[in-house]
Amino acid sequence: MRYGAGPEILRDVTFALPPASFHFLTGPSGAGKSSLLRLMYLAHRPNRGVVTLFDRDVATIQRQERSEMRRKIGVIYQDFRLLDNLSVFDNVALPLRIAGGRENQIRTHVSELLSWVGLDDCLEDSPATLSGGEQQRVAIARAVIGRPSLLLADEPTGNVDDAIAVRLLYLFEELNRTGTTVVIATHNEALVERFKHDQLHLDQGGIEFRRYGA
Amino acid sequence: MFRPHRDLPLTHDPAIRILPWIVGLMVYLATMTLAGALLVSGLAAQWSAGLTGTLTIHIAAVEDQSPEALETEVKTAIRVALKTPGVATAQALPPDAVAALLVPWLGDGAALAELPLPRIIDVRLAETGEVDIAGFRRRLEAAIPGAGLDDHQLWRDRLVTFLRAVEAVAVVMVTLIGVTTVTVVVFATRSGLSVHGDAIEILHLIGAHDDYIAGQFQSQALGLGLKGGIAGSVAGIGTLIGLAFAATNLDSELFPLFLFQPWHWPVLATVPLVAAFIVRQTARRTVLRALSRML
Repeated sequence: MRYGAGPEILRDVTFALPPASFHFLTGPSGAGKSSLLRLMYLAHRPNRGVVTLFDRDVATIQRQERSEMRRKIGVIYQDFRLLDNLSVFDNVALPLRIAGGRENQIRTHVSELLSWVGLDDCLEDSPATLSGGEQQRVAIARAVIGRPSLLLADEPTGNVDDAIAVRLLYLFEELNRTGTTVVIATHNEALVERFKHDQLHLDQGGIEFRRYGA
Repeated sequence: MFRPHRDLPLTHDPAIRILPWIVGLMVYLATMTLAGALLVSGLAAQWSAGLTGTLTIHIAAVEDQSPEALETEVKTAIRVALKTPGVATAQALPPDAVAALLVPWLGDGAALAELPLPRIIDVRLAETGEVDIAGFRRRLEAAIPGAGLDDHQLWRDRLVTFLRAVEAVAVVMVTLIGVTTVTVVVFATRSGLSVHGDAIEILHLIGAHDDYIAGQFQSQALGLGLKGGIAGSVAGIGTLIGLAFAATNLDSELFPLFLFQPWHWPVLATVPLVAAFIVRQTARRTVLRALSRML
Protein backbone atom coordinates (compact mmCIF):
# COMPACT_ATOMS: atom_id res chain seq x y z
CA MET A 1 0.00 0.00 0.00
CA ARG A 2 1.20 3.51 -0.80
CA TYR A 3 -0.29 7.03 -0.81
CA GLY A 4 -0.21 8.45 -4.32
CA ALA A 5 3.26 8.18 -5.78
CA GLY A 6 4.88 7.95 -2.34
CA PRO A 7 6.92 5.08 -0.97
CA GLU A 8 5.32 1.72 -0.23
CA ILE A 9 4.22 1.76 3.39
CA LEU A 10 2.96 -1.79 3.73
CA ARG A 11 4.09 -4.78 1.69
CA ASP A 12 3.64 -8.51 1.92
CA VAL A 13 1.39 -8.09 4.92
CA THR A 14 -0.60 -11.27 5.31
CA PHE A 15 -2.66 -12.15 8.34
CA ALA A 16 -6.10 -13.38 9.32
CA LEU A 17 -8.11 -12.39 12.36
CA PRO A 18 -10.30 -15.14 13.77
CA PRO A 19 -13.80 -13.96 14.75
CA ALA A 20 -14.03 -12.67 18.33
CA SER A 21 -10.24 -12.41 18.64
CA PHE A 22 -8.39 -9.61 20.44
CA HIS A 23 -5.12 -8.22 19.10
CA PHE A 24 -2.86 -5.34 19.86
CA LEU A 25 -1.32 -3.73 16.78
CA THR A 26 2.13 -2.55 17.79
CA GLY A 27 5.18 -1.14 16.11
CA PRO A 28 7.31 1.98 16.00
CA SER A 29 5.98 5.28 14.77
CA GLY A 30 5.70 5.32 10.97
CA ALA A 31 5.54 1.52 10.75
CA GLY A 32 2.12 1.72 9.07
CA LYS A 33 -0.28 0.94 11.92
CA SER A 34 -2.76 3.67 10.97
CA SER A 35 -2.43 2.77 7.27
CA LEU A 36 -3.22 -0.86 8.01
CA LEU A 37 -6.26 0.22 9.99
CA ARG A 38 -7.35 2.49 7.09
CA LEU A 39 -7.31 -0.54 4.81
CA MET A 40 -9.36 -2.47 7.37
CA TYR A 41 -12.03 0.20 7.80
CA LEU A 42 -12.33 0.67 4.04
CA ALA A 43 -10.98 4.22 3.85
CA HIS A 44 -8.26 3.20 1.41
CA ARG A 45 -7.79 0.70 -1.40
CA PRO A 46 -4.68 -1.46 -1.47
CA ASN A 47 -2.47 -0.84 -4.51
CA ARG A 48 -2.05 -4.58 -4.77
CA GLY A 49 -3.14 -7.60 -2.82
CA VAL A 50 -6.50 -8.61 -1.39
CA VAL A 51 -8.40 -7.44 1.68
CA THR A 52 -11.10 -9.82 2.81
CA LEU A 53 -13.61 -8.73 5.43
CA PHE A 54 -16.46 -10.85 6.74
CA ASP A 55 -15.56 -13.48 4.10
CA ARG A 56 -15.94 -10.96 1.24
CA ASP A 57 -13.22 -9.56 -1.00
CA VAL A 58 -13.79 -5.84 -0.48
CA ALA A 59 -12.66 -5.03 -4.04
CA THR A 60 -15.63 -6.90 -5.48
CA ILE A 61 -18.48 -5.64 -3.30
CA GLN A 62 -21.06 -3.15 -4.50
CA ARG A 63 -21.12 0.40 -3.17
CA GLN A 64 -24.30 -0.23 -1.17
CA GLU A 65 -22.79 -3.36 0.43
CA ARG A 66 -19.67 -1.39 1.32
CA SER A 67 -21.80 0.93 3.46
CA GLU A 68 -23.50 -2.04 5.12
CA MET A 69 -20.09 -3.56 5.82
CA ARG A 70 -18.85 -0.31 7.36
CA ARG A 71 -21.73 -0.42 9.83
CA LYS A 72 -20.25 -3.62 11.22
CA ILE A 73 -16.96 -1.85 11.87
CA GLY A 74 -16.45 0.51 14.78
CA VAL A 75 -13.49 2.85 14.45
CA ILE A 76 -11.75 4.99 17.05
CA TYR A 77 -9.59 7.50 15.23
CA GLN A 78 -6.37 8.86 16.61
CA ASP A 79 -7.67 12.41 16.06
CA PHE A 80 -11.21 11.44 17.19
CA ARG A 81 -12.91 12.95 14.10
CA LEU A 82 -15.98 14.14 15.98
CA LEU A 83 -18.49 16.46 14.33
CA ASP A 84 -18.26 19.73 16.24
CA ASN A 85 -21.60 21.00 14.98
CA LEU A 86 -23.34 18.12 16.74
CA SER A 87 -23.71 17.64 20.48
CA VAL A 88 -21.90 14.87 22.31
CA PHE A 89 -25.18 12.96 22.37
CA ASP A 90 -25.78 13.35 18.62
CA ASN A 91 -22.21 12.34 17.80
CA VAL A 92 -22.60 9.09 19.67
CA ALA A 93 -26.10 8.55 18.27
CA LEU A 94 -24.87 8.98 14.68
CA PRO A 95 -24.19 5.28 13.87
CA LEU A 96 -27.59 4.26 15.21
CA ARG A 97 -29.39 7.01 13.28
CA ILE A 98 -27.54 6.13 10.09
CA ALA A 99 -28.57 2.51 10.61
CA GLY A 100 -32.19 3.66 10.97
CA GLY A 101 -32.61 3.02 14.70
CA ARG A 102 -35.68 4.14 16.63
CA GLU A 103 -35.28 7.44 18.41
CA ASN A 104 -36.51 6.22 21.82
CA GLN A 105 -34.08 3.29 21.76
CA ILE A 106 -31.27 5.53 20.58
CA ARG A 107 -31.94 7.90 23.49
CA THR A 108 -31.78 5.08 26.02
CA HIS A 109 -28.67 3.37 24.64
CA VAL A 110 -26.68 6.53 24.07
CA SER A 111 -27.49 7.93 27.51
CA GLU A 112 -26.47 4.67 29.17
CA LEU A 113 -23.19 4.45 27.31
CA LEU A 114 -22.26 8.09 27.89
CA SER A 115 -23.01 7.59 31.56
CA TRP A 116 -20.76 4.55 31.57
CA VAL A 117 -17.82 6.49 30.08
CA GLY A 118 -18.44 9.30 32.56
CA LEU A 119 -19.85 11.89 30.20
CA ASP A 120 -23.44 12.05 31.39
CA ASP A 121 -22.99 15.68 32.41
CA CYS A 122 -22.16 16.94 28.94
CA LEU A 123 -24.70 15.29 26.65
CA GLU A 124 -25.65 18.54 24.96
CA ASP A 125 -22.17 20.06 24.87
CA SER A 126 -20.23 20.52 21.68
CA PRO A 127 -17.20 18.20 21.45
CA ALA A 128 -15.08 21.29 20.78
CA THR A 129 -15.66 22.41 24.38
CA LEU A 130 -14.39 19.12 25.86
CA SER A 131 -10.88 18.17 26.92
CA GLY A 132 -8.83 15.77 24.78
CA GLY A 133 -9.59 12.87 27.12
CA GLU A 134 -13.31 13.60 27.07
CA GLN A 135 -13.32 13.84 23.28
CA GLN A 136 -11.58 10.50 23.13
CA ARG A 137 -14.28 8.93 25.28
CA VAL A 138 -16.95 10.38 23.00
CA ALA A 139 -15.12 8.88 20.01
CA ILE A 140 -14.95 5.52 21.76
CA ALA A 141 -18.64 5.66 22.65
CA ARG A 142 -19.48 6.43 18.99
CA ALA A 143 -17.38 3.48 17.83
CA VAL A 144 -18.95 0.93 20.16
CA ILE A 145 -22.57 2.14 20.34
CA GLY A 146 -23.59 -0.04 17.39
CA ARG A 147 -22.00 -3.17 18.90
CA PRO A 148 -19.74 -3.65 15.88
CA SER A 149 -18.46 -7.03 14.73
CA LEU A 150 -15.00 -5.51 14.27
CA LEU A 151 -13.59 -2.76 16.47
CA LEU A 152 -10.51 -0.91 15.22
CA ALA A 153 -8.88 1.57 17.56
CA ASP A 154 -5.97 3.85 16.73
CA GLU A 155 -4.23 4.82 19.97
CA PRO A 156 -7.50 4.88 21.92
CA THR A 157 -5.82 5.54 25.26
CA GLY A 158 -3.40 8.19 24.09
CA ASN A 159 -5.19 11.09 25.75
CA VAL A 160 -6.59 9.54 28.92
CA ASP A 161 -5.01 8.81 32.27
CA ASP A 162 -4.06 5.29 33.26
CA ALA A 163 -7.20 4.66 35.30
CA ILE A 164 -9.50 5.54 32.42
CA ALA A 165 -7.25 3.69 29.96
CA VAL A 166 -7.64 0.52 31.99
CA ARG A 167 -11.39 1.07 32.23
CA LEU A 168 -11.63 1.50 28.47
CA LEU A 169 -9.66 -1.67 27.88
CA TYR A 170 -12.15 -3.48 30.11
CA LEU A 171 -14.91 -2.11 27.89
CA PHE A 172 -13.14 -3.45 24.79
CA GLU A 173 -12.69 -6.82 26.48
CA GLU A 174 -16.35 -6.84 27.38
CA LEU A 175 -17.26 -6.21 23.74
CA ASN A 176 -14.79 -8.89 22.71
CA ARG A 177 -16.48 -11.39 25.02
CA THR A 178 -19.80 -10.70 23.27
CA GLY A 179 -18.25 -11.62 19.90
CA THR A 180 -16.57 -8.45 18.65
CA THR A 181 -13.19 -8.82 16.98
CA VAL A 182 -10.90 -6.16 18.45
CA VAL A 183 -7.70 -4.64 17.05
CA ILE A 184 -6.04 -1.89 19.07
CA ALA A 185 -3.10 0.04 17.70
CA THR A 186 -1.06 1.30 20.64
CA HIS A 187 2.32 2.43 21.87
CA ASN A 188 1.37 1.76 25.47
CA GLU A 189 3.64 -1.14 26.46
CA ALA A 190 2.18 -1.23 29.97
CA LEU A 191 -1.31 -1.87 28.64
CA VAL A 192 -0.05 -4.53 26.27
CA GLU A 193 1.66 -6.23 29.21
CA ARG A 194 -1.32 -5.89 31.52
CA PHE A 195 -3.98 -7.13 29.09
CA LYS A 196 -2.71 -10.42 27.87
CA HIS A 197 -3.57 -10.61 24.17
CA ASP A 198 -1.79 -11.57 20.95
CA GLN A 199 0.08 -8.91 19.01
CA LEU A 200 0.41 -7.96 15.36
CA HIS A 201 3.76 -6.22 15.21
CA LEU A 202 4.51 -3.99 12.23
CA ASP A 203 8.03 -2.98 11.35
CA GLN A 204 9.63 -1.76 8.14
CA GLY A 205 6.45 -2.41 6.15
CA GLY A 206 6.15 -6.06 7.16
CA ILE A 207 4.08 -7.79 9.86
CA GLU A 208 5.00 -10.29 12.57
CA PHE A 209 2.48 -12.27 14.58
CA ARG A 210 3.36 -12.50 18.30
CA ARG A 211 1.29 -14.91 20.34
CA TYR A 212 0.94 -13.88 23.94
CA GLY A 213 3.20 -15.87 26.21
CA ALA A 214 5.13 -17.44 23.34
CA MET B 1 -42.99 19.06 14.98
CA PHE B 2 -40.77 16.43 13.37
CA ARG B 3 -37.51 17.77 12.04
CA PRO B 4 -35.00 15.56 10.27
CA HIS B 5 -31.56 15.32 11.86
CA ARG B 6 -29.03 17.34 9.94
CA ASP B 7 -25.54 16.08 10.64
CA LEU B 8 -23.84 18.67 8.45
CA PRO B 9 -23.94 22.38 9.39
CA LEU B 10 -25.00 23.45 5.90
CA THR B 11 -26.95 26.48 7.11
CA HIS B 12 -23.68 28.23 7.98
CA ASP B 13 -22.19 27.97 4.48
CA PRO B 14 -22.05 31.36 2.75
CA ALA B 15 -22.80 29.76 -0.62
CA ILE B 16 -25.85 27.95 0.75
CA ARG B 17 -27.11 31.02 2.61
CA ILE B 18 -27.27 33.02 -0.61
CA LEU B 19 -29.46 30.36 -2.24
CA PRO B 20 -32.88 31.70 -1.08
CA TRP B 21 -32.02 35.13 -2.47
CA ILE B 22 -31.02 33.72 -5.85
CA VAL B 23 -34.04 31.43 -6.03
CA GLY B 24 -36.32 34.28 -4.94
CA LEU B 25 -34.99 36.55 -7.66
CA MET B 26 -35.25 33.82 -10.29
CA VAL B 27 -38.82 32.95 -9.28
CA TYR B 28 -39.74 36.64 -9.43
CA LEU B 29 -38.32 36.92 -12.96
CA ALA B 30 -39.94 33.65 -14.06
CA THR B 31 -43.31 34.73 -12.63
CA MET B 32 -43.18 38.06 -14.44
CA THR B 33 -42.08 36.41 -17.71
CA LEU B 34 -44.78 33.75 -17.51
CA ALA B 35 -47.40 36.34 -16.59
CA GLY B 36 -46.38 38.48 -19.57
CA ALA B 37 -46.63 35.52 -21.92
CA LEU B 38 -50.03 34.49 -20.52
CA LEU B 39 -51.33 38.03 -20.74
CA VAL B 40 -50.21 38.61 -24.32
CA SER B 41 -51.52 35.22 -25.33
CA GLY B 42 -54.88 35.92 -23.66
CA LEU B 43 -55.24 39.38 -25.18
CA ALA B 44 -54.32 38.12 -28.61
CA ALA B 45 -56.86 35.32 -28.32
CA GLN B 46 -59.46 37.87 -27.22
CA TRP B 47 -58.72 40.16 -30.17
CA SER B 48 -58.58 37.29 -32.63
CA ALA B 49 -61.90 35.89 -31.36
CA GLY B 50 -63.46 39.32 -31.82
CA LEU B 51 -62.41 39.31 -35.45
CA THR B 52 -63.18 35.71 -36.33
CA GLY B 53 -66.44 35.39 -38.26
CA THR B 54 -66.54 39.02 -39.24
CA LEU B 55 -65.72 41.09 -42.32
CA THR B 56 -65.62 44.82 -42.70
CA ILE B 57 -66.72 46.76 -45.76
CA HIS B 58 -65.47 50.30 -45.94
CA ILE B 59 -66.67 52.86 -48.42
CA ALA B 60 -64.50 55.93 -48.75
CA ALA B 61 -66.23 59.28 -48.82
CA VAL B 62 -65.49 61.09 -52.07
CA GLU B 63 -65.14 64.83 -52.17
CA ASP B 64 -68.29 66.60 -53.29
CA GLN B 65 -70.32 63.43 -52.83
CA SER B 66 -73.68 64.08 -51.25
CA PRO B 67 -74.62 62.22 -48.06
CA GLU B 68 -77.57 60.73 -49.91
CA ALA B 69 -75.31 59.27 -52.61
CA LEU B 70 -73.04 57.79 -49.94
CA GLU B 71 -76.07 56.32 -48.16
CA THR B 72 -77.19 54.75 -51.47
CA GLU B 73 -73.76 53.13 -51.82
CA VAL B 74 -74.03 51.79 -48.28
CA LYS B 75 -77.40 50.21 -49.04
CA THR B 76 -76.02 48.71 -52.25
CA ALA B 77 -73.08 47.25 -50.36
CA ILE B 78 -75.42 45.76 -47.74
CA ARG B 79 -77.49 44.18 -50.52
CA VAL B 80 -74.42 42.68 -52.16
CA ALA B 81 -73.30 41.35 -48.80
CA LEU B 82 -76.62 39.77 -47.91
CA LYS B 83 -76.79 38.06 -51.30
CA THR B 84 -73.40 36.45 -50.71
CA PRO B 85 -73.73 32.84 -49.50
CA GLY B 86 -72.42 32.41 -45.92
CA VAL B 87 -73.16 35.96 -44.77
CA ALA B 88 -75.59 36.16 -41.86
CA THR B 89 -75.98 39.91 -41.28
CA ALA B 90 -74.64 43.17 -42.66
CA GLN B 91 -75.11 46.36 -40.68
CA ALA B 92 -73.81 49.85 -41.37
CA LEU B 93 -72.21 51.67 -38.47
CA PRO B 94 -73.91 55.05 -37.95
CA PRO B 95 -71.65 58.02 -38.86
CA ASP B 96 -71.58 58.94 -35.14
CA ALA B 97 -70.15 55.53 -34.27
CA VAL B 98 -67.46 55.88 -36.95
CA ALA B 99 -66.58 59.32 -35.61
CA ALA B 100 -66.41 57.90 -32.06
CA LEU B 101 -63.77 55.38 -33.23
CA LEU B 102 -61.54 58.29 -34.22
CA VAL B 103 -61.93 60.23 -30.99
CA PRO B 104 -58.89 58.61 -29.27
CA TRP B 105 -56.65 59.83 -32.13
CA LEU B 106 -58.22 63.08 -33.24
CA GLY B 107 -59.97 64.26 -30.10
CA ASP B 108 -63.59 65.24 -29.62
CA GLY B 109 -63.40 68.53 -31.51
CA ALA B 110 -65.62 70.19 -34.04
CA ALA B 111 -63.07 69.44 -36.79
CA LEU B 112 -64.12 65.83 -36.76
CA ALA B 113 -67.57 66.69 -38.09
CA GLU B 114 -66.06 68.45 -41.07
CA LEU B 115 -63.94 65.52 -42.14
CA PRO B 116 -65.17 63.27 -44.99
CA LEU B 117 -65.59 60.14 -42.89
CA PRO B 118 -65.79 56.74 -44.60
CA ARG B 119 -68.74 54.45 -43.95
CA ILE B 120 -68.17 51.09 -42.38
CA ILE B 121 -70.38 48.04 -42.66
CA ASP B 122 -70.00 45.27 -40.16
CA VAL B 123 -70.58 41.90 -41.82
CA ARG B 124 -71.22 38.83 -39.66
CA LEU B 125 -70.74 35.39 -41.15
CA ALA B 126 -72.98 32.39 -40.54
CA GLU B 127 -71.34 29.96 -38.11
CA THR B 128 -71.10 27.07 -40.55
CA GLY B 129 -71.04 29.03 -43.76
CA GLU B 130 -68.08 29.13 -46.10
CA VAL B 131 -67.67 32.49 -47.82
CA ASP B 132 -66.01 33.07 -51.17
CA ILE B 133 -64.10 36.16 -50.08
CA ALA B 134 -62.55 36.78 -53.51
CA GLY B 135 -65.92 36.57 -55.28
CA PHE B 136 -67.50 38.80 -52.64
CA ARG B 137 -64.75 41.38 -53.09
CA ARG B 138 -65.12 41.29 -56.89
CA ARG B 139 -68.88 41.82 -56.77
CA LEU B 140 -68.54 44.60 -54.23
CA GLU B 141 -65.93 46.50 -56.22
CA ALA B 142 -68.03 46.10 -59.39
CA ALA B 143 -71.09 47.55 -57.65
CA ILE B 144 -69.29 50.35 -55.78
CA PRO B 145 -65.99 51.59 -57.15
CA GLY B 146 -63.68 52.47 -54.28
CA ALA B 147 -65.33 50.11 -51.76
CA GLY B 148 -63.04 47.73 -49.89
CA LEU B 149 -63.48 44.42 -48.07
CA ASP B 150 -61.26 43.63 -45.12
CA ASP B 151 -61.22 40.04 -43.88
CA HIS B 152 -58.58 40.90 -41.17
CA GLN B 153 -56.36 38.07 -42.46
CA LEU B 154 -53.24 40.21 -42.64
CA TRP B 155 -53.78 41.50 -39.13
CA ARG B 156 -54.41 37.98 -37.83
CA ASP B 157 -51.27 36.66 -39.56
CA ARG B 158 -49.19 39.40 -38.00
CA LEU B 159 -50.78 38.72 -34.64
CA VAL B 160 -49.94 35.03 -34.85
CA THR B 161 -46.34 35.85 -35.81
CA PHE B 162 -46.07 38.30 -32.93
CA LEU B 163 -47.59 35.81 -30.52
CA ARG B 164 -45.16 33.09 -31.54
CA ALA B 165 -42.27 35.51 -31.09
CA VAL B 166 -43.50 36.45 -27.61
CA GLU B 167 -43.90 32.79 -26.69
CA ALA B 168 -40.41 31.97 -27.98
CA VAL B 169 -38.89 34.84 -26.01
CA ALA B 170 -40.76 33.68 -22.89
CA VAL B 171 -39.52 30.10 -23.33
CA VAL B 172 -35.94 31.31 -23.84
CA MET B 173 -36.14 33.55 -20.78
CA VAL B 174 -37.62 30.86 -18.53
CA THR B 175 -34.99 28.40 -19.80
CA LEU B 176 -32.20 30.88 -19.04
CA ILE B 177 -33.65 31.49 -15.59
CA GLY B 178 -33.77 27.73 -15.00
CA VAL B 179 -30.21 27.21 -16.24
CA THR B 180 -28.95 30.05 -14.03
CA THR B 181 -30.72 28.59 -11.00
CA VAL B 182 -29.32 25.11 -11.65
CA THR B 183 -25.80 26.52 -12.09
CA VAL B 184 -25.99 28.44 -8.81
CA VAL B 185 -27.29 25.38 -6.96
CA VAL B 186 -24.54 23.18 -8.43
CA PHE B 187 -21.84 25.62 -7.27
CA ALA B 188 -23.41 26.10 -3.83
CA THR B 189 -23.68 22.34 -3.37
CA ARG B 190 -20.13 21.73 -4.54
CA SER B 191 -18.97 24.40 -2.13
CA GLY B 192 -20.85 22.62 0.67
CA LEU B 193 -19.30 19.30 -0.32
CA SER B 194 -15.86 20.85 -0.24
CA VAL B 195 -16.34 22.63 3.09
CA HIS B 196 -17.76 19.53 4.77
CA GLY B 197 -15.53 16.98 3.08
CA ASP B 198 -14.17 15.63 6.37
CA ALA B 199 -17.59 15.28 7.97
CA ILE B 200 -18.94 13.59 4.85
CA GLU B 201 -16.07 11.11 4.97
CA ILE B 202 -16.87 10.35 8.60
CA LEU B 203 -20.53 9.75 7.78
CA HIS B 204 -19.40 7.45 4.98
CA LEU B 205 -17.03 5.52 7.22
CA ILE B 206 -19.75 5.12 9.84
CA GLY B 207 -21.84 3.45 7.13
CA ALA B 208 -24.02 6.20 5.68
CA HIS B 209 -25.37 5.40 2.24
CA ASP B 210 -24.99 8.00 -0.50
CA ASP B 211 -28.73 8.60 -0.21
CA TYR B 212 -28.37 9.50 3.47
CA ILE B 213 -25.74 12.15 2.73
CA ALA B 214 -27.54 13.41 -0.37
CA GLY B 215 -30.67 13.63 1.78
CA GLN B 216 -28.96 16.14 4.06
CA PHE B 217 -28.19 18.41 1.12
CA GLN B 218 -31.47 17.96 -0.73
CA SER B 219 -33.69 18.63 2.29
CA GLN B 220 -31.67 21.74 3.03
CA ALA B 221 -31.88 22.83 -0.60
CA LEU B 222 -35.62 22.13 -0.75
CA GLY B 223 -36.26 24.20 2.39
CA LEU B 224 -34.19 27.12 1.15
CA GLY B 225 -35.63 26.83 -2.35
CA LEU B 226 -39.19 26.97 -1.01
CA LYS B 227 -38.34 29.86 1.28
CA GLY B 228 -36.79 31.93 -1.51
CA GLY B 229 -39.30 30.74 -4.09
CA ILE B 230 -42.35 31.68 -2.05
CA ALA B 231 -40.87 35.10 -1.29
CA GLY B 232 -40.15 35.65 -5.00
CA SER B 233 -43.61 34.44 -5.95
CA VAL B 234 -45.33 36.72 -3.43
CA ALA B 235 -43.31 39.66 -4.72
CA GLY B 236 -44.06 38.75 -8.35
CA ILE B 237 -47.79 38.21 -7.85
CA GLY B 238 -47.92 41.37 -5.73
CA THR B 239 -46.34 43.33 -8.56
CA LEU B 240 -48.85 41.89 -11.05
CA ILE B 241 -51.80 42.75 -8.82
CA GLY B 242 -50.44 46.28 -8.50
CA LEU B 243 -50.06 46.59 -12.28
CA ALA B 244 -53.54 45.16 -12.86
CA PHE B 245 -54.98 47.68 -10.41
CA ALA B 246 -53.12 50.53 -12.07
CA ALA B 247 -54.27 49.38 -15.54
CA THR B 248 -57.95 49.26 -14.58
CA ASN B 249 -57.67 52.87 -13.41
CA LEU B 250 -56.31 54.01 -16.79
CA ASP B 251 -59.80 53.96 -18.34
CA SER B 252 -58.27 54.20 -21.78
CA GLU B 253 -59.79 52.88 -24.94
CA LEU B 254 -56.36 52.52 -26.48
CA PHE B 255 -54.88 50.45 -23.65
CA PRO B 256 -56.28 46.92 -23.50
CA LEU B 257 -57.68 45.80 -20.18
CA PHE B 258 -54.99 44.28 -17.95
CA LEU B 259 -57.02 41.23 -17.11
CA PHE B 260 -55.87 37.81 -15.96
CA GLN B 261 -58.00 34.74 -16.33
CA PRO B 262 -58.81 32.96 -13.05
CA TRP B 263 -56.71 29.96 -14.13
CA HIS B 264 -53.63 32.13 -14.60
CA TRP B 265 -53.13 32.57 -10.85
CA PRO B 266 -52.75 28.86 -9.96
CA VAL B 267 -50.35 28.50 -12.91
CA LEU B 268 -48.23 31.37 -11.56
CA ALA B 269 -48.44 29.92 -8.04
CA THR B 270 -46.78 26.69 -9.23
CA VAL B 271 -43.60 28.55 -10.22
CA PRO B 272 -42.01 28.49 -6.71
CA LEU B 273 -42.94 24.82 -6.28
CA VAL B 274 -41.34 23.90 -9.59
CA ALA B 275 -38.29 26.00 -8.69
CA ALA B 276 -37.95 24.32 -5.27
CA PHE B 277 -38.21 20.90 -6.90
CA ILE B 278 -35.52 21.80 -9.44
CA VAL B 279 -33.27 23.08 -6.63
CA ARG B 280 -33.78 19.89 -4.63
CA GLN B 281 -33.11 17.58 -7.57
CA THR B 282 -30.06 19.57 -8.63
CA ALA B 283 -28.55 19.40 -5.14
CA ARG B 284 -29.27 15.69 -4.93
CA ARG B 285 -27.75 14.84 -8.30
CA THR B 286 -24.71 17.01 -7.61
CA VAL B 287 -24.05 15.25 -4.30
CA LEU B 288 -24.62 11.75 -5.66
CA ARG B 289 -22.30 12.45 -8.54
CA ALA B 290 -19.58 13.70 -6.22
CA LEU B 291 -20.02 10.80 -3.80
CA SER B 292 -19.77 8.26 -6.58
CA ARG B 293 -16.15 9.32 -6.96
CA MET B 294 -15.44 8.56 -3.30
CA LEU B 295 -14.42 5.10 -2.09
